[in-house]
Amino acid sequence: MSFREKMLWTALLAGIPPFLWYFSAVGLSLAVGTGVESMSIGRLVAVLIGGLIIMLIAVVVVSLLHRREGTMVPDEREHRIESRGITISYHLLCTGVLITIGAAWLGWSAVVIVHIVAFAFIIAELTRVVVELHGLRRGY
Amino acid sequence: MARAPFSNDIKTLRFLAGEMTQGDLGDEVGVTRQTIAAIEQGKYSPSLEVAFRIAHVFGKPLEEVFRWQVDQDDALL
Repeated sequence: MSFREKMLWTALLAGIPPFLWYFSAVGLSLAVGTGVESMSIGRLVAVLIGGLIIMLIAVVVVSLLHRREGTMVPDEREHRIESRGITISYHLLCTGVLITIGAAWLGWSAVVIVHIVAFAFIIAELTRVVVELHGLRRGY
Repeated sequence: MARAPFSNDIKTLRFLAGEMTQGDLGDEVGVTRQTIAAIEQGKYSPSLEVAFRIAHVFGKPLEEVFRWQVDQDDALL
């Protein structure tokens, strides 16, 4: 497994749990009809910052442990795989923007709109990492 | 993705060059070991620059390292 792949796995495994925990809790609240009341921009920001810090610490630790194995600078094959991930991620982000516009048009509250934007961003970023990992695993 | 429409003799040339590893070749060419492995297996078509660099490492002309598959060429026409 290349250094780049290890970094991506680390970012994925460290990044998923906090966001999965928060958004599954929000989803469950929405399912039982108390979702909007339970949503808070402050809590969302705390989860985003906390998740990013956890991810950053994990990536730094793993990169220090494997620092002799390579670099995150992509070669041409990795760059092509990375571009594919960014393209798919971009389309997801655009979809999130359209949903956000729809939510604003429907007059949904700011707290819901902020959650939609954050969710779209996280899904787009995780998709980029998964697509890149898939490309690196199969070789192209 | 279809396999690359050309074959290569990189594995043989590495063996003949003192059992050079994929990692060593990757270091000389400026790509990762995994990229050399993908090129060898025909999963990834390298850029012209990397193809020339690989040929240069072995001191061979490009056509002795990479060979166009005639049958696939015909299929494209």
